[in-house]
Amino acid sequence: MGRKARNKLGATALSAVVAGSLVGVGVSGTASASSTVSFSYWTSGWGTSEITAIDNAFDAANPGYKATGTFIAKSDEFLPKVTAALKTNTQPTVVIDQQPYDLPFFQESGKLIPLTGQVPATNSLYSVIKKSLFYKGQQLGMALSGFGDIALYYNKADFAAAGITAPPTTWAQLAVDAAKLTVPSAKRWGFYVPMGDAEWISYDWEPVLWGDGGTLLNPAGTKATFDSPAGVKALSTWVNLINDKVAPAASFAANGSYDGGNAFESNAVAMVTDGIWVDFATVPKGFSYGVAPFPAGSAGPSTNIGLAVAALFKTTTTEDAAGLAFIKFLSTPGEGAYIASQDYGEPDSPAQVSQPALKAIAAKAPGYNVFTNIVHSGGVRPISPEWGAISADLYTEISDALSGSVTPSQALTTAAQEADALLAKNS
Amino acid sequence: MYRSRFWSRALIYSLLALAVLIVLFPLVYMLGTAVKPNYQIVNLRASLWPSHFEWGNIVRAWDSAPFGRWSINTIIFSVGSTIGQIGSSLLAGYAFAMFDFPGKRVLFYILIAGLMVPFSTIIVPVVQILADLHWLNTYQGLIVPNIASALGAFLVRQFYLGMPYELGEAARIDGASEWKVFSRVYAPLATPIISAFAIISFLQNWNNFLFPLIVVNTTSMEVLSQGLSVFQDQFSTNYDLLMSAATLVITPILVVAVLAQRRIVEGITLGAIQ
Amino acid sequence: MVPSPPGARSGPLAHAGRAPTGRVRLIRPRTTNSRGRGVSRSRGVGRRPLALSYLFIAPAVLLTALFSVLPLGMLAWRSLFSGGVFATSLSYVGLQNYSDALSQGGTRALQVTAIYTIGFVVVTMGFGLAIALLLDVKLPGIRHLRAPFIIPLVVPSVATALIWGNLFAPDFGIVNRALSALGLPQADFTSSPSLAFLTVLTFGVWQFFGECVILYLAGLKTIPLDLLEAAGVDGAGPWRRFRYIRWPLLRRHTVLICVVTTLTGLQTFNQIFVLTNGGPNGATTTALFYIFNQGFVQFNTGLADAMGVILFGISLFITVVLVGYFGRGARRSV
Repeated sequence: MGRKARNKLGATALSAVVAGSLVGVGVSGTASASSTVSFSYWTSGWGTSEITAIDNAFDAANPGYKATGTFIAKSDEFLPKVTAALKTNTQPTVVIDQQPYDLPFFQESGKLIPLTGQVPATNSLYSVIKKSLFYKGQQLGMALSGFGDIALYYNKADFAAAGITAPPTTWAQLAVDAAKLTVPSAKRWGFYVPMGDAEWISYDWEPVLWGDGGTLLNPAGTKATFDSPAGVKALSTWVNLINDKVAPAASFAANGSYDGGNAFESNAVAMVTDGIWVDFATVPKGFSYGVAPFPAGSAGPSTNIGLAVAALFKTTTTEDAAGLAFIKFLSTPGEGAYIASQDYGEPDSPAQVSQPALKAIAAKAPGYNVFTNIVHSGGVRPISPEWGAISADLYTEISDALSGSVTPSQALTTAAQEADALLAKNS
Repeated sequence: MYRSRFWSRALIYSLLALAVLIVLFPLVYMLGTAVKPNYQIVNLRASLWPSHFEWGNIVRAWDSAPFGRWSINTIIFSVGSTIGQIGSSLLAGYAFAMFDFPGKRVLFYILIAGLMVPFSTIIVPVVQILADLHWLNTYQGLIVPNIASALGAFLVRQFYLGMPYELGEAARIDGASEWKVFSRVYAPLATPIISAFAIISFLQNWNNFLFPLIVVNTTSMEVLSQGLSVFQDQFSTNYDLLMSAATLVITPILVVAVLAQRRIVEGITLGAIQ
Repeated sequence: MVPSPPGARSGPLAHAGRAPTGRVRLIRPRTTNSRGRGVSRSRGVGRRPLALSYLFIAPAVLLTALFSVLPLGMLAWRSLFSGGVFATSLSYVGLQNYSDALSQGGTRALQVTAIYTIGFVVVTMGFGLAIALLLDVKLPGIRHLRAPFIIPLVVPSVATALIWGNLFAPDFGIVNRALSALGLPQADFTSSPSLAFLTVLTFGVWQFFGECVILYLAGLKTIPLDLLEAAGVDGAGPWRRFRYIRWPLLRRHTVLICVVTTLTGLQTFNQIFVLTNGGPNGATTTALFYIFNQGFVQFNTGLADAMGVILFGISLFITVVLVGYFGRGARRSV
């Protein structure tokens, strides 16, 4: 490279860095001396246009406050980023997290502001959701609408061909139907049991446990209770579906997605328990499906609610006040409905259901109302700091049981022992 | 003799064609997926060829996020980092190969330590350092930590270790300073290795995901690689838009790489003829 | 236009790695070192522009020290304590975190990493060298085939992961369709540990071998043509030309490529995250995945830090061995 060229490059680089730092200085300094209080929040669940819409709506409804949202990439990188920010005191005022059991972890930093008694809308949440926000007596965050729950998708054409008139309402009935729906020559099974080492497997199995009357932890949160007879029965339901060859023994997981939506949409299975996003996927002409409530167990119906929560972090007093106002704003029925409609998620309080935004969505997706209606019977995962680790042990053991290397009873016992050890260590 | 030459040529061409196919296939798949309707992507039974072409996917992907702004950021980040890496590697590699100074071995291993410490393990300390420097969310915070490249210095050093000392003798006899010997004699010779390194480095910087994610806090400073995550939420992926966005993201690099590829050939042949 | 340095000849010895340039073509006597030793290690013995040396290495070394070594030190310091990452309740535990990490899945992660890295290095470098050799042939049109090999380095992994997922899908993926057409049983790439491992390895090799191709090609281009032509005239076939000319002259490059590939292999994370999430049951959990899992899923920061330091130690050891032992040969010849 000639000297002239190198000098030119060097000059360009230098000026780029200088220009960049000037711009950078301009961008990073958001504190304004004017009367509007500006605060920032991070979310991994909202798209950039949604963020802009919400920010504008909030600013309009709360003059004197200004919200600046940033989309942060996927949830698995979200946590290291928030952790690093908390550790270096560069955290935003509000964080929208898709994993509520991160909250006790954030609380360890000492910078989480509990919302106990601060957000009146908490009391109008569905009670099971409200309960899940509390850890050691404190409300750590506010549940946002636009969460997901799971229901049963079934292929209408396959049902008609097998002569089944209505979708199964219980797991026992589902097993019977799955046998009729399995057509090996067409490479189709009756039902998809999710397999793989991922959180989805725990999430999808927990309502089976709850439907059979089981629980995950004891009320005090000190011992695991999912290895009860109800748990063994629940896991056996899944294992038997595979052993009876009415569910595929191979995993259809792809690209970090374990729910089996691709198996259903490929008509490799006739039924799958999945979230609402399948209802919004475009399907080829002639593909007709229906949505039914999550199959009930011997103790009743259930479903699993995957929440998103907003947490408030300590920054400056004025920013914190603005952040609190923001969280309250997000919980108003109108705004909650808007968020739910954007995320194609569920409203988290009955008041939002009748909002126009949600009515429009219900018109677009036939199954939407089913998802809304089953929230009453839903459960939520515990908000304990060990939950991530416990769930990891649980799904690993479930996968082992599904592949046949251990029995359901052995699998759950092992997972429960590991869970007890974790809970004992940290209490 | 002609026949064996024909067969060996045929073998070479076919092996290369096979390798190119293996390498090209995912790119073609990605481009095809970008214009497919979403249901055809998810449906495993569907054919690989798009049932109809949804060119609108690309426009929709572009509109879903501030890709224009992110492109600018990415260009500044990649070009700045690559130039910095070339400069620092050239200087350091030359010095480690040609000079002797106390502590040389230790300092060299400190330099290579950069390759041995995966960034994801030191996220929190790095953010701490950048926060103390007030460099979070700034261009210098993105570029400066990336300027040191152990790979580059390593490459340049290995390259110069093979260079004879005498190339600069004549210049030294004429009274040129060591700097002049470097800049006039040795630096230009490094073109082939620098070209190869420049491409690798630019690609790595363009696709760097984790570092900008950690350093940047506002949407206006984000880079393209974060843009791809817009289409992936926790449970479902908007594949058609994701692939369209991915196509948008890599098109500039492919163009640069193809153009630069010619420059490498020139640079290399010139260096060899020498 | 590259200027021609005065005094250089264009013959084979001008650039060859093993050329004993120290003893030939001297224009004036070499300054011997104080020990009167040979010139093996002391090429630059007469050249000690101290200030300039430090100035030259300053940007690279200082920045590495600040953004890699210093954070590593902070990590190592934190690994001696237990208590959350927020350091609100730290207590000194010495090497407890290290023994915990090794006993709680860390040893297995290191084993997986070792097997993976060895396979990765051998296959990637093998393919890289093979393709580079093919691309080095002087046949018409081959020049244009160089560009495609950077594609794997360029395509974002989310795109590749999707393709891999569809490729290996049960029943309908191309691989399984081929298997059933051949009458073989279906392969379940996510629940079978060995297949999951192979899938991740294939993905990794595919992504990285392009870099080996580029680096080896750059190396091959520095081999003087005269040597090869002379050998060809003497009747040496392609294999002998490779074995006795190219391979030895590529030694420096091989060491470097080996170091880079090994370090890349040791730091495998991305493809595991998108393909198997460390499963089934830890069969594809490499050290870096273990670190991420312990740090941000299980919130065991102490274990994550300890494993980070262990991984660094292993990387350092391997690099010192590769560079110091195998790299030394190249230096001595000069």
